[in-house]
Amino acid sequence: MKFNMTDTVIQAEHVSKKYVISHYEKLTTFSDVLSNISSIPKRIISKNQNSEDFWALKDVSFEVKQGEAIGVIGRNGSGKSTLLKILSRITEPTQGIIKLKGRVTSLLEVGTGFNGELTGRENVFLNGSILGMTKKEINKRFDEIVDFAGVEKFIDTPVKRYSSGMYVRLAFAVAAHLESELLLVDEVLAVGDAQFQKKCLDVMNNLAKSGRTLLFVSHNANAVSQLCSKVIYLQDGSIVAQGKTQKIINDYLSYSTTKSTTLFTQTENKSKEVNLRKVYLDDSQNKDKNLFDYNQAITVNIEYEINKEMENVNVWIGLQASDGNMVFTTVDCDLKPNLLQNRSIGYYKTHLSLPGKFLNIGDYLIIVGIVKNDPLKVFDRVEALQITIKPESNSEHIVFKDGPRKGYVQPLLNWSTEKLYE
Amino acid sequence: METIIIKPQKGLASLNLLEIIKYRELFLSLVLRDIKVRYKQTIVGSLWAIIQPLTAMVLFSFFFGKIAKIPSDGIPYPIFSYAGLLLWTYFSGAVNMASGSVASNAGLITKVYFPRPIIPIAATMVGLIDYAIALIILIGMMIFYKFTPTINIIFLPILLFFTWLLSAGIGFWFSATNVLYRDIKILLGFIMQLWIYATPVIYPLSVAGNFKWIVVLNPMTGIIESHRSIFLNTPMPDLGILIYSALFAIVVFITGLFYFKSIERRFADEI
Repeated sequence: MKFNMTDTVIQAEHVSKKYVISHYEKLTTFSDVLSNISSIPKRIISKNQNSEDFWALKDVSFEVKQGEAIGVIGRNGSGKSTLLKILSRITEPTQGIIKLKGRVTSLLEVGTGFNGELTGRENVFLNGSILGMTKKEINKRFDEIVDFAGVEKFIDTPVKRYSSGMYVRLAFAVAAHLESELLLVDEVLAVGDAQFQKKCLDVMNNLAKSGRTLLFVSHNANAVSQLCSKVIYLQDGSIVAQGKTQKIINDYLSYSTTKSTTLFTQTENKSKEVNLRKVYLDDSQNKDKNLFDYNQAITVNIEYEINKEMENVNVWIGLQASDGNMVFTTVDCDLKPNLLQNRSIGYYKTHLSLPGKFLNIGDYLIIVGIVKNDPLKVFDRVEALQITIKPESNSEHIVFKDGPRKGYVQPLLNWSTEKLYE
Repeated sequence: METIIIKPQKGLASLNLLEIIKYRELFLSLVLRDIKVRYKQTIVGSLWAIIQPLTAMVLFSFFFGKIAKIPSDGIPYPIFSYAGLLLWTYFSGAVNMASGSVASNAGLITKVYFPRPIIPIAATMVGLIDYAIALIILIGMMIFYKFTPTINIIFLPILLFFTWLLSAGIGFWFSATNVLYRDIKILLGFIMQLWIYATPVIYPLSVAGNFKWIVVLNPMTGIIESHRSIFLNTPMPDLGILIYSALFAIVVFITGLFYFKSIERRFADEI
C-alpha cells in the first residue's frame, strides 16, 4: 500500500446534530391524528413552546490521519453514537461538513443483516456484501473467515441452529477480514465472553498496526486505552478534550458528572400492584454525586409502594459493569426470607450498603427490579443510576502503572508469605 | 482515492443513480436473500407461487364464470382469468413487498450505509420468480385448451417492465410513508383488494361499455388486457391506452423516487 503518513482521512468541521423533541406525544398513525384532531391547531400555534431542540452534537471538529487509531470516549448520551452514525452516513448532520477519504466500513454491530434461515456460508456472502466487500474478495478470503470462526463443520447449517457463541464468532470473522482503509467501530462489537472480547481487541489492534485507520467509539476506558493512541473525549455533544490516550482517559475517569442521574423517580401509580418510586444514593460526604473513591462505601436507597396486599414480593439490585456484564445480583430476601410473607399496603423503603474497597475502578450501572414470584411478575426493572469508582485521592496503590487492574471487583485480600528456605 | 463528503442535504434530493449502480452487488445479494428465505420452513415451498393464482382462478371461475356468467371474450373462463391473475399476482405481491420493505429492513438501515432505494427495488424482484413458476401453469392450460400465443408475445418483457416500474414506483411512495405512519401498510392491503376489481383481471374490458373511459384511467387496465392478449389473442387495447399506462408508470416511478430520496434522510431517526 502506498500512502503518506500525514494524509488526513477524516476531516470533520463544525458538525452538529439537532433532534426535535416534542412535548406532545408524537402522532404516528392516522388514528392518532384523528383522535387528537382537536389539539392540532394548538400544536401548530404553540409549536415552538411545545417542542424542544436537543443538540446531540454541538460544533464538533477533529481530524484523523492515515493509520491512526482514534478512540471516541464519553458517557451514555454524550453524543458518541450520534457521531458514529453521522460518520457512517446513517443519519445526516444538521450542520457542518465531514470529508472521508478512501474506502470506509462501519461496524455498528456484529452480523448486520444475518438471516437465521440462511446457512453460515450464505450469511458470510450476504454480510460481506452488506459491509461493502465484493463477491470476489469474499471468495478469496472465505476459507480464512471460516477458519477464524471455527465453524467449518456447520458452515452449511442455517445459522438459527448455531449456538450464540458460534453465531457471534462467524459474524465477527467477516468483519475481521474487511479490506477497507478506514474502519468505524462501535463498542458493541466487543460483546461476548472475555476470551472473545480479547480476540476482538487483538484483531482491531492488528488492523490498526497494518496501517489501517481505526475510529473506535466506547465508554469503556480500558478498551480504548488498549487500542488507541489518541482519544477524543465527548460530553453533552461537545468535545471537551482530545489528545494522547493516557491523559484523556485519566480526565475521563476522574470527571464527576454532576448532571448524571443520582436520583431515579417514578410517579405514584395506585393502579399498579407494586410500584417503584425512588432510587437514590446516600453517602454522607457526597450528597449529589455519583463519583466515589475506591475505599468509600455506597448506599443505595429504594422506595416503593405496595398497593395490594400480597406475598412473594422482592426487590433486587443488579450491578452491571460498563462492558455490559453483570457483576452480581442481590435480592432483599436473600438473608431475610420473612420478607416474602404477606405484605400489607403501604410505602416501603429499603437500603443496601455496598462496602468500600470492593468494586474496581470504573463505571457501573445500578439496575433495580421489583418482582413477585410464583407466578413470576415483573413490576419494574429500571437502569436506575450510574456510579463511577475512582482511585482514592491520596494513594493509587490499587492501580497498576499501565492502568487499572483487570476485573470488576478489587477486594483487598490477605496473603500470607513465609520464607521456606535460603 | 475516493472522497466522501457528508453534509446536510438542502433542497431537492439528488437521485444519484450512479451510486445505485455502484452498489449492484449488494442489490443482488438482497434479492438472492429474499428469494432464498421466501419459502424456507414451508411445506410446499415454491408451490405457493402456483397455489395463489390457481386457487383464485378456481374460485373466480366458479363464482364469476359459472354463477354470474361474466363474459370472457369468448374463451374458456378459467384460462381467461388465469392469464390476468398471473400478472396481477406479481403486481400486487411486488407492491406489498416493496411497501413494507423499508420498515422490515430497519436493522440494515440503522446500521449500514447504502443507497436506500435498493431496498424497495430488491423487494419487487422476488415476485418475478413466482411469476415464472406460475407461468408454467398458463402454458399447461394453453396446451390443454389448444391456444397458440400470438407474435406479440415478444412484447412480454416490455409489459413486465412497466408492471415492475409501476410497482416499484408505488413501492417508493408507500415504503417511505410507512416509516412515518405504520397504518399505510393496512391501507395498502385494502387498496390492493379493491384495485383488482377495478382492473379487467376477471372480466374483459369489453363489458365496461359506456364506462370504459373510467376503467382505462386505471394504469393496470392496459397492461393486464395486453398481457392476456399476447397469450390468448383476445382484443389488444388501443395503443393510446398502452402509452397512457407506460407514462403513468414512469411518472409514478420518478416522483416516487424523488419523494423517497427526500424522506430517506429521516429513516434512521424515525424507524
